[in-house]
Amino acid sequence: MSLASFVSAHESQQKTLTVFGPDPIPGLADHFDTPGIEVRWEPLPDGSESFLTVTQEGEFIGSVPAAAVQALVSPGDPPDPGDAEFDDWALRRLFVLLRDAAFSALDRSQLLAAAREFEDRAVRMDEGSLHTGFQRPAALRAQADLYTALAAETNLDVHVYLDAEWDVSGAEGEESPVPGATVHAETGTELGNYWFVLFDGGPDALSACGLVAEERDERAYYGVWTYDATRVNEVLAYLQETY
Amino acid sequence: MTNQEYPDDIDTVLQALASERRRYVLYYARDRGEVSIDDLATAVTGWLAVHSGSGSAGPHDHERVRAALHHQDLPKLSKAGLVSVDREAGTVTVESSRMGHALLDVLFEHEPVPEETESDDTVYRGV
Repeated sequence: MSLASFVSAHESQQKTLTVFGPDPIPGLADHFDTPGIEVRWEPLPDGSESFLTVTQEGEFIGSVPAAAVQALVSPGDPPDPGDAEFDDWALRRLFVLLRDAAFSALDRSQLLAAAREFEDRAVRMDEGSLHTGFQRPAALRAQADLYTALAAETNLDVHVYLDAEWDVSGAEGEESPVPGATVHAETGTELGNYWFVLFDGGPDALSACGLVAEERDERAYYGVWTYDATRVNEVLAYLQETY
Repeated sequence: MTNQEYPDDIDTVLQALASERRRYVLYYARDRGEVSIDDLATAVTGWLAVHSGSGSAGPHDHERVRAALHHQDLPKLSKAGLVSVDREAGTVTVESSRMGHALLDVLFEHEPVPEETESDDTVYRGV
């Protein structure tokens, strides 16, 4: 399953994210502005607790407190994995509920929040392999320290994918941009068009997760995130075969 | 359809309101006119989860609430004249019981405020 077919395989999934509460949540609809997710608001009386439900064609998938999306709609950068701030089970739970929904028009910082969730999941599992494709040298440079640390300080098998054209020699005479990780560098392939983070779940298939996003417009992405181990493993098999 | 046979019988109304789930059914449905039972179950499931402190709910919780609405709660609320139920259409409409609404206003103000939910690492994996 190539990166493009992974994305198109999810396009038919449609989920509804409903905010129940006295007030709507400004910015939430922008965050999930995608053909795969419809955001609605159902008012509750003043003084009510707010919560979010996820439904799929009327079927109840789950609900979380509205506090789950606080970090998403607050200004500022998404938190780093391992940060106490990001140790938010409700947001993780929401990502699980929204799995397999195609998204579009997400900007980089929003996608970064999802990527953080997957990297963090891999760190906590401390076993298995993590595969990340960087679209451009700046993205790799921004994450190089983090990925070097992941390779050095965890038992994870870390793979990074990049375009071989880039000048991305490591810092302080290091030959690899991400010491300790397996670097797959190819020229003139789909790697420059896709941003992906895939974790095979290690010993626990239920922990498998991944996102694959194609940059279609200037810094706007279209893609999918999933917790379906079968789908994740199909892409991983494709990457292994191809790069 | 109104329930004229049971016009605001105090005991029956109080019995109907003596359940958290039934009160939340009314809190949700009373400003809405006709509500589908499925939508009602979705709202009440999510609301009670955040209200009770467990925070999140899944399909099993929803199924439990839906069954309870069908078999216990809606018959009781209907008997008390607080709602009318159209079983064929699968919809509920809150009746304009003056006593019922006056009681709901007071009760809503006295529903306990939920405590902060604690992190539970097992939650997100159990889907």
